[in-house]
Amino acid sequence: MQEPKSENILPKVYGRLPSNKVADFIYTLLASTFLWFYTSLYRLRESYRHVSYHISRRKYTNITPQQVRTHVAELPKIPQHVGFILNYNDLNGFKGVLEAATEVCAWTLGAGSSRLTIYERTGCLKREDLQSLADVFTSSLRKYFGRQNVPHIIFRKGREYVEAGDVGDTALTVQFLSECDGKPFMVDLAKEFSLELAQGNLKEEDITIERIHKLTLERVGDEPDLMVTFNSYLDLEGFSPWLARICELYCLPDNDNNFGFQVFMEALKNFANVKVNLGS
Amino acid sequence: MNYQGWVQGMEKSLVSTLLYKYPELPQHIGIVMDGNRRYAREHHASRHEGHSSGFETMSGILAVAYSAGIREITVYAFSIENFNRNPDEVEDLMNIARDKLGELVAKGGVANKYGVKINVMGRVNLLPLDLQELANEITEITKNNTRAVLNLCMPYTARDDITHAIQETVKDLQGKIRNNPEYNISKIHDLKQDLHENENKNDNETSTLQSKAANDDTSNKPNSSNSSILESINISEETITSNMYENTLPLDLLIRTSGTYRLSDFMLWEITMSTYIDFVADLWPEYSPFCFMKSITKWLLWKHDWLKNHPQNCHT
Repeated sequence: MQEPKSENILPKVYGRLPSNKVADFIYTLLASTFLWFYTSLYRLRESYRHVSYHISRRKYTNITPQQVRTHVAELPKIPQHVGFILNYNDLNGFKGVLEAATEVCAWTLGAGSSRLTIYERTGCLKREDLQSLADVFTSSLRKYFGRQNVPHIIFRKGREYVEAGDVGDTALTVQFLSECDGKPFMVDLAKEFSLELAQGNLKEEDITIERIHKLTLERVGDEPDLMVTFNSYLDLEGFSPWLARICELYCLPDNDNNFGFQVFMEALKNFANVKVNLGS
Repeated sequence: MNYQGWVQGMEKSLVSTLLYKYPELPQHIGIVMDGNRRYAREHHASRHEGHSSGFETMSGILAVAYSAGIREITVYAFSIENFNRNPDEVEDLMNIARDKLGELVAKGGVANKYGVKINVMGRVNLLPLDLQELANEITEITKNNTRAVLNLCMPYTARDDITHAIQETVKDLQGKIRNNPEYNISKIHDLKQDLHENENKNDNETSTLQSKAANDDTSNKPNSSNSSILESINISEETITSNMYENTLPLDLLIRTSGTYRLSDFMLWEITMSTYIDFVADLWPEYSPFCFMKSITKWLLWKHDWLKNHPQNCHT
């Protein structure tokens, strides 16, 4: 909540501008006009984008991995590890989340990325039996790859993993994450370290970035190169702070939570032009 | 004063005045000041000039923000990873810090003019000794300022901050665990097993957010046999938050310049669902008070939409 505006700071606020009642009225009017003008432009652009997205979305309906491959062929680079944030409410519950998850899996296979992170905050996917999930994904992929040609995929949640698919070397590793893998996981680590320290198995100086990172890799997973959300604005929805370090984040402005390949395609285009120079 | 300086001064005064008239302002803003080197390259200037321009921009934005009534600003001044840069550039950045940190607390500087408390946040012990002393000095000089706060992250990374917070949390608990009358090594072993089971339970049995909250409650509740030791390791997200380098206000707005869509290891723990992230295409030295006003306006519009979708947060 904003602190009450005290009179004694007014001269500092006005700086070089005149400060009297008339001027004050003009400033209020100017601020309101600017806000009104900016809001109108913002809403106008929002409406324009809604319409243009609606039109361009048609181009990508019922897209297959083979078509995805054609679309991404011209991009100079593709992320090796892609992440998607799926929203339980926007996708109308578990069934919608599962359908969206199988679809992003097909897109990722088509794009040629080798790892996929599916983050769903409430954990509705992660709670499912991994073998059953793998079966659903495989049977859904059969409609694109045929009865005996689904690529080999590893499904992983935490340390547990299951292999599925019919042919070839591992084409994709899919990891399922939920909110529990974020801050709650860090809290669990702190508890574990407390006990290990009390037991004498760990020294204070052993609690390092490298140790936490190693345990996160083992028990949660690794950081995506590109994280895609279908929101209109960037909302990580409680995604692991440890795994959001340098990944490229993408949301399609004013997308209005519409799930579709168009968002992934724009994210890939954006990623293709990115140069990463961490610290150097 | 030259014409350009007069125009810039008027822009700052006008923007801070208009922002002051806004119905609401974010209370804590984080800024990733990216693009100084690219700015220097594009303007055929030296890296030093690029970084100096970046500092001038920072001073200008801080003046606008504090005079408009924003309470806390956290700026990413130097990453731990930046030590990997060319040694000449690192030395150059340290020299700029030596010159400019003093300016912040000098008469007429931001701290003095707006009553700002300055915290130097991060692994200060990695800085050269004279800079460490300077950092301690400005923290000491401004410690009684209460109107606003400036957190200067240098040298900082969010992963280091999280690790530091976990270390501090664990350290704080050791006395409690060891002084517990039930403390013995075999009991601790049992507790570790319990902890792993709880971890798996959280993963596998959570069904909805509501029941997750209930699960969290029960996972924190001690079982009968190990009650008092488990009570002493009752760590929550808030415990870790309170042990971060600085206990800041909730982060309302994060601004990142230079058209990069990454967080680059900045305030990862502090970013929540009520943080608006504004990725701006301008390079940091080009980021004017008017651009800052646009960022605040976008935040205001976002907050309006966000509260519509999250009515339970209307009280915040």
